Amino acid sequence: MKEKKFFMMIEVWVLALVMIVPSLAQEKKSEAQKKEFTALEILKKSDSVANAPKDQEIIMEMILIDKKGKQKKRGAKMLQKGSEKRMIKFLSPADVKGLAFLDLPNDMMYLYLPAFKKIRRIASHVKNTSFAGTDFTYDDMASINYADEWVPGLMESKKEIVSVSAEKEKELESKECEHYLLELKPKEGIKKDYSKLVMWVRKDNFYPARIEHYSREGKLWKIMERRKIVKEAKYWVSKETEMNDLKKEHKTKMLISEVKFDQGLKDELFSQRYLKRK
Amino acid sequence: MRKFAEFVLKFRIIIILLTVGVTLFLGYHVKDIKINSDILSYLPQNDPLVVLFNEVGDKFGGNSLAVVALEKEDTFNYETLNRVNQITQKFKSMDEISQVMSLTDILDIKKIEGGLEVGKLIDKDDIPQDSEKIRKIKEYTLSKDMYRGSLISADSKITVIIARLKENIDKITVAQQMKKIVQNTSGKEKIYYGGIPFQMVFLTDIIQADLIKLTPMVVILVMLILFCSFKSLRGIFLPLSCVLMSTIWTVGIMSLLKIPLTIASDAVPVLLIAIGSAYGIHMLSKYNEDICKGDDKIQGIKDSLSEVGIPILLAGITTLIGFLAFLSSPLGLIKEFGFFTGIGVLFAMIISVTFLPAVLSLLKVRKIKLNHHGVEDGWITRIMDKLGKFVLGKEKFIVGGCAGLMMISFLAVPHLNRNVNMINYFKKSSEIRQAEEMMENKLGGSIPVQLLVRGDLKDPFVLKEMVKLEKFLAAQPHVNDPQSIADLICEMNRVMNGHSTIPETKEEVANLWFFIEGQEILEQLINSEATEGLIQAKMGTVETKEVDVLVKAVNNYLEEKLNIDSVKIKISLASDKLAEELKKQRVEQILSKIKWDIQKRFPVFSKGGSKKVIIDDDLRKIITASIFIEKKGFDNKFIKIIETKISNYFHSEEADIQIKSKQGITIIIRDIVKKLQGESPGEEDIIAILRKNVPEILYIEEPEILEYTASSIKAIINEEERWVRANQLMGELKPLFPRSLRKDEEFLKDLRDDIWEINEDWFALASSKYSKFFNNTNEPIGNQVKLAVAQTGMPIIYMDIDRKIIQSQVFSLSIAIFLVFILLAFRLKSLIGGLISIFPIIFTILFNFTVMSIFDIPLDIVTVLISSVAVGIGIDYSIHFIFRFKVEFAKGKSELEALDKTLETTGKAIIINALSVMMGFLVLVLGNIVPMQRFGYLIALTMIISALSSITLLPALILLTKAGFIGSFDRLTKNLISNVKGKIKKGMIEGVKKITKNGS
Repeated sequence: MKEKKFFMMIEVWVLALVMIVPSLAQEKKSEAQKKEFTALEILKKSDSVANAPKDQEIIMEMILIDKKGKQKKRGAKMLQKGSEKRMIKFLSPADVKGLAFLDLPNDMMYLYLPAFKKIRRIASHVKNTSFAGTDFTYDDMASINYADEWVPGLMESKKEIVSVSAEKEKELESKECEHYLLELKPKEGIKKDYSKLVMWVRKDNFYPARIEHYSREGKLWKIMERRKIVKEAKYWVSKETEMNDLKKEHKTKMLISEVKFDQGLKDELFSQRYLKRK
Repeated sequence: MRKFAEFVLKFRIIIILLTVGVTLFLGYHVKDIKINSDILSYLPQNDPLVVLFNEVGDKFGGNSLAVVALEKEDTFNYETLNRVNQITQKFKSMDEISQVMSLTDILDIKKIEGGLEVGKLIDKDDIPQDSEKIRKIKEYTLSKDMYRGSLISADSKITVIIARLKENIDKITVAQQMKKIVQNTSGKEKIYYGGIPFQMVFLTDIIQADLIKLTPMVVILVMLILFCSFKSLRGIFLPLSCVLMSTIWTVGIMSLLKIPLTIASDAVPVLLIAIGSAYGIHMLSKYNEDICKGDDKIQGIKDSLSEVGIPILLAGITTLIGFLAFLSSPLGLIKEFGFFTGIGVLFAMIISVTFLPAVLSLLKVRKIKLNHHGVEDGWITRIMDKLGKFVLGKEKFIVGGCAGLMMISFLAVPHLNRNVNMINYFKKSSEIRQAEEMMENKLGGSIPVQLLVRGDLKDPFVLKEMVKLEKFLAAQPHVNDPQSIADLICEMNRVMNGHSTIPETKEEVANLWFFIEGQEILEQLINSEATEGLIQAKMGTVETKEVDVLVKAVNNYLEEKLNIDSVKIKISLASDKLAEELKKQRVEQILSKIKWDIQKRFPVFSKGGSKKVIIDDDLRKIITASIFIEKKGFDNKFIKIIETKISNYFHSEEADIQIKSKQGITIIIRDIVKKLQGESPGEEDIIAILRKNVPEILYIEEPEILEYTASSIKAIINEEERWVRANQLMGELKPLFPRSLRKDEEFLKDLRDDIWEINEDWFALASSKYSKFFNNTNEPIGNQVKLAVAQTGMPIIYMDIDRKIIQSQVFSLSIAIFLVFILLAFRLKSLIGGLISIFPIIFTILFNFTVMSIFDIPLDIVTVLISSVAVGIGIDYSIHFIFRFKVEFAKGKSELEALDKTLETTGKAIIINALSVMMGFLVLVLGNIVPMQRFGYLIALTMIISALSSITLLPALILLTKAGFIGSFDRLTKNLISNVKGKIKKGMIEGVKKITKNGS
């Protein structure tokens, strides 16, 4: 009797084991899948996704919104080749039409003033100042490889979500599981205006959907959000980017209306000569 | 009155309980009393000027700027800059602060070869330590108008951190936190705190300190006086409890009504304690007197109350009138002060005739030592005896003397000084004044002079009007550093094009504007639509007269010289006649700009000391010649420059067409230069030259690049032409100026910018003048330029307050005197009686103004209160005196006897009261608020004068006029009078003899 009972017990155990082990194994596997990427890998992947196109031509509208909700609009065309050559030409409003920036490697930046028919070189410590009245800094406008300047860390625990409104916070909370949350701290020796960034990288396509910028005092200062992330041709692109400066209570939306990738833009286009062209 | 006395005695327990109950209730609320330290809220809030000022303050953030200044021998050193940086960073991290500006956090746009450098003046992460680097930064910073005088003093001893606080926050708390942050940083620099938020902290502290210090002092003083006059515990505590309770009631009610204490009403407790004791004193001394006469307790109270009740009531009502007359003032500050002191007085009076007798009736009778008149003996009584005799003998002398003094005062009063700047209300040694003085000496002052400009601020001609306005402002004495969006545009133009002027076209302005868009500083200069802008300058004087001169000069400019409506015309397209007119106007415009720039350097102070520089006619001739005479051809030097520039262009990356052959370029340049020898070539000419010389292969794919090239070359030639013209004119003008100006680099830059418009084609002509031409000929229709400018800022508000102070003075004083006169005339049933009763107080007021005028004590928001308060309180002495005198006279006594008796009794009470009130007011001298100090000693003076005049001038007048309202003088024979007089004279002679005897 006792023996029988014992075997039955074993049977049950074995059964249980048989049933449980595979599921345990499976769990282990998915854990492994998650752990497959280190924070750095995620960041690098994200960088490469965001900077994937060889070149791009973008028609966009920048909407500047002040704390009273008043809006100012600007139309611009942006040409970019690789991550270092960029030209932005303003199309509207009429009185700044033709105004253009040319950004070349090694901090060479030029500016064309159509009303004076003059090109001026801009020497820069400007990386962290506002670009043309928007909430984007010159740095933000550039396509940076975050991995070059920041040390990422994967945020394990659920982070406390802070945002502009309770509603927004809820929305984010529900989306948290779809993202890797990276905490970026500036690499040693690199001075940044931000003490850290919290980057929300989409798990499905590694697109950096949201970047929270924290001030040196550790307060949430600016939030960049990329919305309407779609695949155009073979690249992921966000059609709407918003930068919200919580301190200034000012935000800028950048809406992309047209985008062309990999047209084989010539280097020549990124020259002072072309800066003047209509 | 007897019925009232009976009523009081019947319900004495209820009265006591009720009084104590109300006191407890209101006393509980006293703790919630708030202090309003927002100086701007003291201004009359519905006054259109104040509305505009507040609006501008809200829109451009000016009312919420907190300034921290650091002082050191030279603030350009690592430690100081580091400290500035630390403070700046800490401020920046505060949620309540929306922006911070300092040397270590300010946008800097620097001109460099071929371009510009945008960045921070000093990098917060890289504060220079190396002395050479620091020296360079210092030199650069001091060379820029934008920093010198605003962020750093010209001698670099002071540097400031300016923080802009957000709206709807508790400014005081934030300012306190900011102070703590500064105090927590280490350094040897002396720190100053300026701006409204810090001033509020200071004012709150000062009002609190004054209340805590002065209130107990005045209580102790009143107690001492009461002790001296009554020498008994009840004599101290009964009248004291009356005033304390009335004070508690008043402050309690203010607290309940949520009316905060201000820089004026913070004196209410001290005042009430000082004034309010009078009623209790009168009541108690009459009671003592009646008890001495042998009345029993209840009878004594009934007698005293019925006899002294009416005068107390009258005195109370007149005092009330004096204070309530302030309700006629247009200044809320004064209204509140008047109203609450008034009701406080009313409370003191009510308590003195209800609570006080009620308590007395419950206390035991106290024995009092008697003298032969049945009143307490004392030194005052002895003085009064002598005084009576003196008045009776010298009535004509007294009246004559007073009349003489009044004549003098009529001469003195028009010279009364006025003072409206509230900063002056604080002691010279106070933090707030020191900060102010430092700002005045080092940073050109702190009083904001503001002009609100409405119009399209992106229109070059609106901006040009603003530049003119600023030059005009800077030329006014004591006015410094006008700044506006126009300066930023000029600065951008300087960085881009080398001259600090507003460009001619909208597109050019827009191009320059583009760079400053979104910069924090814009929030202080324009609204977000760029339809309103602020010109802000600083005024560095607190002299009301100087302020007056400025306000008038600015208004005059706005009315007569400002182009509010004009039409833009291209001179090159206008008819000859119109073109000539426009050119002439341009000459005048340039001349006025130059004149202002000179005046700025040699200010014409209203107090003399001006250096005149007259160069008008020669200047006009030369500028006219430069504008009217068309230059043909260019000299070799110019052509050389052009050659180099075009050559550089072709060799640069900028070149629209890439010509590899040097030979080709040389030929093109040669052809262009050839053209230049005649007239300046147009774009078409240049295209023709290019087409001729450039191989077609270079442009066949993009034919438009020829146009680009031509347009670039044309731009180079144009630019150079302008410089040549400007420099040539400069060369001609320079010798006309005195050496000091010729050597002044800054002036020469200004001069170049002033004359730069000779290169411009557009001109804005006043619409009124334009229509004259337009009707006659076929002139081009230009765009209209419209703008409106309103003067705001502190100076105009100060002048507004000044007017209101004078209004307050005139209204409240006339109302008070008139009402008191009516009241007394009615009560005495005699117009003459009314007139005679108010005569001493009129004398007192004139005396006060004379003293103020002679000692240069200004009329300000607090000293303006003196005369009406003097009417309210001082008239009481006349009332008490007249009523007693009447009573004594009616008893059939002779004048002397009646006078003697009145002086010994009421006269004594008057002196005790005046002394006690005076001491009470003198306590204010120990306070921290200067006008309150002045108020203290002046009102103390008026108390003594009005008390003295009511026991000398008043009886002298009565005796002189033998006015019927006192009683019938006829029953006394002339003999009797002369008899009495003789006696007095005799007595006096004897007295004199005695004195001389004793002396020897």
